[in-house]
Amino acid sequence: MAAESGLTPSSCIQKTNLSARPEYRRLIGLQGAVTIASTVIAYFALSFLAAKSMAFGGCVVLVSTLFLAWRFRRGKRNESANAEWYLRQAYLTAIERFIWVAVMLVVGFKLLEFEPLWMLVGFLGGQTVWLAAPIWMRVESVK
Amino acid sequence: MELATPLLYIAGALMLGLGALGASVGIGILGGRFLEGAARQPELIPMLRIQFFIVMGLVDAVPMIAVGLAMYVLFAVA
Repeated sequence: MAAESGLTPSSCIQKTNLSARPEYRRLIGLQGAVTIASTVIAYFALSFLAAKSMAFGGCVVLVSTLFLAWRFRRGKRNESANAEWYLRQAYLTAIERFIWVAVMLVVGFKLLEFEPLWMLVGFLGGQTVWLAAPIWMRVESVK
Repeated sequence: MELATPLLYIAGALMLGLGALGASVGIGILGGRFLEGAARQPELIPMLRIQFFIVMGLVDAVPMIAVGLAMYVLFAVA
């Protein structure tokens, strides 16, 4: 069926590899744009501290996404990687992202003494991009 | 008033705990399906890997929000 339509599994894989990278870039770019926009709005509408708090919250999410993208790219470079290796990397990145987010939020709330509400709003803004991702994100699959 | 602070701590703990539970169930199912797919068609591992990482980010998003809210409740409200 796939051979009849000119689609072999290897051609689909190549196509997918080409299309997945811009999806990640678009996601990271959109998160950066949301963070910058919310920071600018907070600076003009609220205060400098609120803007700093929002930027910090957005950056926490952005770096957490970069962790995931870094693990993804490591798997791409490692040609001897098998399914078990990918699974281990995924679990590892889930743990490191959780620790990163928890520690950075505590640092922001307690040590740096940012405004908690606006920091949370910045954080939620970044995470909302992930939640909205299925609307526009498309990864090709074998038909 | 005296009861409010302990209740806030319980709320924060519940948010963290239930968020972790949801994330672990989601990622566990996702990982199992990934292994299943990889065992059936090993030549599709690169494609499955991409989808696995993307969906993992999606599965993680809501528990991360719960973590953020819990930290807010624990460190800013309580």
